[in-house]
Amino acid sequence: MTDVVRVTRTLRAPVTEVFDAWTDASRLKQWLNPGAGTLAEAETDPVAGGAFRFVKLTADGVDEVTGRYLVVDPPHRLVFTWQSGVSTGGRESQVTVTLRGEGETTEMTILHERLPAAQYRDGASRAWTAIAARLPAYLTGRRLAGSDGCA
Amino acid sequence: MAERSADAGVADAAADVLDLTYAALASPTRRAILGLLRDDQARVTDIARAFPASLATVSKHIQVLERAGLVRREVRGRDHYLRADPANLDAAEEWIAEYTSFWERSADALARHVEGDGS
Repeated sequence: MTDVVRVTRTLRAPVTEVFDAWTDASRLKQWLNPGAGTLAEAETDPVAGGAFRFVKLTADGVDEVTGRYLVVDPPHRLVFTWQSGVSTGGRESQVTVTLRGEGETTEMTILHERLPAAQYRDGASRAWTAIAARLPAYLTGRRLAGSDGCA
Repeated sequence: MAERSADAGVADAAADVLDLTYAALASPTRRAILGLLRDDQARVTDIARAFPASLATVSKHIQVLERAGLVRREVRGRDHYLRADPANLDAAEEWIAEYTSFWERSADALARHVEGDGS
């Protein structure tokens, strides 16, 4: 069962330019999460230990992503945690961006790992389902104890 | 106050299930069992035969998967049939697909952004 997402691209731009686009908040807003919406907000502090925050607009609404930069090694490597209440079930996943410059082109690899989030999310939704199923009986018991007969 | 503690209990219960699920998937043997059950149901004894481990060991692995809700058991007469919970497995793949699409789209947009016409 794979829990890794890997995307690679060769970009016709120098590596410093690509690294800048990955770390500059105003530039991130121009390309990260295109189509479905965009980044409504982006804040970055691209130093090791620094935080970032993105607000993604999605078909389902809003997904706030937060994380910390673990490695900031310009212009070659960026490692950051990636956590979202919606899409990673509140757990931390990890993204590694590797850039290899060759003249005017850059070989880019995006690796998103520690994504047992898929299973986490299932686990979470199952827990909520079970809890929701038990809740009416619990509330009924309490209501019977009181006097509210609302069906 | 009562509401807050109920919420905390709910969150704890959810976290417990998450840990169970993660632990269940951490074992290669259990992932292999899930693989066998992916397309069809199978009896516990059939599963056990597919592994070099003892029936008791395989049974334990199956119980871990059941506790995590990844496998369901149906008893028919003397036979215990197992099947993977397809909702969970499908959702897992859906998640991977979702993030693959997110990064693919973003990488393409980044290419347009940095290669763009002088912007």
